[in-house]
Amino acid sequence: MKDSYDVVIVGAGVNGLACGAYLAKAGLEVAVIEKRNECGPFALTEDIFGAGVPVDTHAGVCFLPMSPAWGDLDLSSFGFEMIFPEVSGATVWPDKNLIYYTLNRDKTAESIGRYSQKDAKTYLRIAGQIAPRVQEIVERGVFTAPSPEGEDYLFSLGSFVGFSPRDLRTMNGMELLDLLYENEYVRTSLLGMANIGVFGDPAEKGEGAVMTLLGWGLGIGVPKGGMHNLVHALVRCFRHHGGTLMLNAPVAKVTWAAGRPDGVVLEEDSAFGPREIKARKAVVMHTSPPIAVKMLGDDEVARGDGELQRKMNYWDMTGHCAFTSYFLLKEPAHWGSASWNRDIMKCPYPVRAWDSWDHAARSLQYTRNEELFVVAADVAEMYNLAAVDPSRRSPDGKCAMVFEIEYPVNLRRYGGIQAWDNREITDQLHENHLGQIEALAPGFRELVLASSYSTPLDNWRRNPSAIYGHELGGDVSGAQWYMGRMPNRSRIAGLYFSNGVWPGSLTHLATGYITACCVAEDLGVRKQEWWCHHPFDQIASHLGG
Amino acid sequence: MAQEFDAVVLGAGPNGLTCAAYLARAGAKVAVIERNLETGGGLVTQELGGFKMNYHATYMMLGELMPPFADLELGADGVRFAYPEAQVSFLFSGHKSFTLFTDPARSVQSVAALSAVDAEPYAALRKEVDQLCEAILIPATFVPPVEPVEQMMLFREAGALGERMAEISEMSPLEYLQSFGLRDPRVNAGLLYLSSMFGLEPDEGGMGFMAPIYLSRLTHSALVRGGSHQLSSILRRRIEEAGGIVIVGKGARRLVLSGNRVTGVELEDGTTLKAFAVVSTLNPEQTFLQLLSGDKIAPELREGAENYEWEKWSLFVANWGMLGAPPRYEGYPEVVDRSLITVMGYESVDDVLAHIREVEQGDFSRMAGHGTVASMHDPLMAPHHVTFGTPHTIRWESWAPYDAPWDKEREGYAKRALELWRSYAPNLGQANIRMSVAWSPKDIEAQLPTMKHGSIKHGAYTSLQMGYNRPFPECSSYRTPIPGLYLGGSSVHPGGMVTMGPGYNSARVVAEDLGLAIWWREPDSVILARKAGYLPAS
Repeated sequence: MKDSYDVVIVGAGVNGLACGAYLAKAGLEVAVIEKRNECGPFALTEDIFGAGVPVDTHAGVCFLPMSPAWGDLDLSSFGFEMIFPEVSGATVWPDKNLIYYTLNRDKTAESIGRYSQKDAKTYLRIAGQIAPRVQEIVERGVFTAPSPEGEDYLFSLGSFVGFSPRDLRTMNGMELLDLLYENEYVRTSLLGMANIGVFGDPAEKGEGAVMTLLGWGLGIGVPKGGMHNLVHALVRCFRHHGGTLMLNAPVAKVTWAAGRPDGVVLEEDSAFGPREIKARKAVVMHTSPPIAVKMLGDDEVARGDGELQRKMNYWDMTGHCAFTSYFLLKEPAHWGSASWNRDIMKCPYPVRAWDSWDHAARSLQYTRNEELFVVAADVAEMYNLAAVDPSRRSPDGKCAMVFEIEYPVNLRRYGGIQAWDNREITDQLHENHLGQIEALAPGFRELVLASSYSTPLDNWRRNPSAIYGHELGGDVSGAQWYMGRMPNRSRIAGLYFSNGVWPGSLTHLATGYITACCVAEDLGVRKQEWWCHHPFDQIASHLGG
Repeated sequence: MAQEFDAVVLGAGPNGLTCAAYLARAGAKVAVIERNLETGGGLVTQELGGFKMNYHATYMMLGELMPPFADLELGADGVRFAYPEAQVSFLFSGHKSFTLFTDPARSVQSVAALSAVDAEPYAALRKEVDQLCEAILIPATFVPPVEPVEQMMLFREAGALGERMAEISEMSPLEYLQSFGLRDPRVNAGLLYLSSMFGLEPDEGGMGFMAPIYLSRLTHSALVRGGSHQLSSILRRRIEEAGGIVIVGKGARRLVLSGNRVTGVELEDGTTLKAFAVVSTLNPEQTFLQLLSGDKIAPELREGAENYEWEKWSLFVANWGMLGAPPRYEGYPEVVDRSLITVMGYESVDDVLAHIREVEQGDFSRMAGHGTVASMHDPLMAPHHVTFGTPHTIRWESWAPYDAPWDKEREGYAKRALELWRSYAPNLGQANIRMSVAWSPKDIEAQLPTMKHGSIKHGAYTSLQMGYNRPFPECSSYRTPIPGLYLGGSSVHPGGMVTMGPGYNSARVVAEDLGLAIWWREPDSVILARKAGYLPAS
């Protein structure tokens, strides 16, 4: 194993691996250095119940269809396969109502139309304008580093719905939906989907309107056999192109020479001892900003960019931290909504949305007020992946259901963040979740063979970079939205960031992609024949319209 | 994917990976086929909620002494061992105990503190087992098995140590222990437990020579830093660096024959891989009765496979990821807290023997066994980056029967284990358990199908199926009577545990048959053993 590479990437999350794979494929000598003994801490598939049922413990649905990385890295040739569910997502209510989203615009409109024909027409009109431009929108909005022009572009998308950029900049998502849609179920559904869409906070001006308008990604897929197969494919791709992966290799600090980072030193306890690894051309920090700044050294960063040093130290990681309940089931849940629409049984990604528009407004505010129990189970994502992937069932038919909510994490009313380790509190939340699912799928309790949960602190323990278990590398909202995110290319020569950058760490691999573009441009290796794909080009035939 | 290879290895446990790595470096085109999605076989480490858990193999008894460590430069790429000085502590009622260290002198001292009259006998035992391992048993691990009569002759003519080996080769492990005349029942209990820990039957005649291996090496054992899987991870890397490929998630369906010669493997997905040599690290039933079923195989092979004896008892392993202080064995010396292994629940040899008899009958009502706090010796095993609460990974291992309704009993058994542990370390009662996983013998078999009946060593250690007889004489030197088919796993010499011996030894044989250059030297310990006459001259 060498001790000197062109590029050293600290952290082997899916985006760190993607960045590494791009740069290795472009001909650079790349090392990805990982503290844990495996990669992709938030893209794990584990048989947590020991029952032969693989469970995706974090990322469940995959946004790779919208990514150029699928084609650029040819991930299919490394064993990655995806299932495209007909019904990709849905919002379900305890009163058995249901709106679902499919790749087929007309079918989705039909679902909306049960509540309001007017709203169905509005939806079709908007979707009809977005569809032909969706590649461009995703490319410029998701897969390009932030810029003032990019921001203007995002707000210009208000024209789809007859709003000027100024309108969009001064309204939030709730107002936008209020103005566009008349039916409460429809509005609540779209708000619910936007809320988990993680491109911003729907209750904030500007960002709220943009992300509510763009909604949540089209064409999600379910990886065959588990999300961890994406990690495996990325690792295989990276190593196939000559990349070096070091596991059980926690980094103690970054070394500097002449004002630029030139390598890393591992911790004494690492499997390699306190080894020094040199980076001749670039260091990419894939750990979250507060951890990265400690590795880089406050003084060194401040010397190169005082603002950046402050930004990294004040970086907020308290807003999007998952509390996830896992259930082992005898057989798949029977949704209440299935009594009148069987399509929900084929949906891998049902979302529990608020009970009413008023409830949504109160809930969003209470979340910001950090009122834990009031908001408990108000809006949640559920992963019901066995509905579309038979490999998620054990030979005797068992399957799993995952129920995930992003909670306010500070818990100051309950003694602070360490309260997440207090089972008296967390058992109650878990029970609350179970009750919610029972309301959505009567008889669920009888199907449960075992259950467990993962709190924000459990998630942080699992992913050393994800402080408080934050899933996106830091809140994507307010001062940390778009232009306010970490720079992919910092002002310090040779220093790049791929975590805490726009748009946030997800399985569309955008953060890894954008950073790879920056590094490759700077090192003169960006122009590659294969580095040419576009969002959705691998599934263009699947997109019904 | 290419379909033609020089060698195809079935199974990516430590032996399969080792064999493949040596062959690949020798220039062979190699593929390893593994049914599970992860390589490593018994070298399985899962990270749950940040706590690294070794579900199976955890104590490395040979560490850097395994020739592949140096030959394949495993240390250069992140295989590091952690050797706690305090190796095994044995706890008894009345807060009595003794501790064995990597340092013999400290071990003798500790035995003396419990039982003064046993100081000298233990000193003699310790000296002898360490010597036997260094001079004979470890070298013998890394050469093919010697025909029993020849081996006995060599021993008898090789001086005092050789004669002693000949003598103990006729004893049972219990008789071997008794030959030192230790008096205190607790000292005897502890040492017998050590000898029997991984399935060596105390009463098994002719297996006395195995006892020194455990009695010595379990006072020199290590954890793989970062978890046992780190070892298989780096072995895999070596294979791929040398141009070999490792195929995971696919099982073999049958061996392909052309006439009487094995010419390849058909996988469960229908793909066929052609190979001059197929090395099976699976068990004899899998190799001869399943992969060759329907084909005409010689009666001796069929009978051998059908009569192959599985192990009479297995292991139950529970791992917990907890927040809180590590076990503090109240009333016991502080060194117990720092031991790699802590044995609890046995007061006498009768207790140990009774436990074995009970589990052999399917009775698991007795709770006794040993615990390890992995994170104390290797900080990589617990998520220290979260400073709310002190995280530790603790692991329990105890003897358990294969035949039991484990789906219903697993949780209850694990709870009882923790309760026993708590009775010695009361502070575990305040532990905040975040993650827990337990593997019963049935889970071992389910996850590692080669370990039938939870046979952790791929088959019982009896004189009828050890060394030259393992799994049966026709196949014990890695070649089988079927041209093109070789054995390279724990069902062939030197047997189970993590030694890499079967993989290392079979690689040489296969390389010879393929006409490849043997790029590696015999280990120095083997050269010395040949010189001293314990092993054949060449």
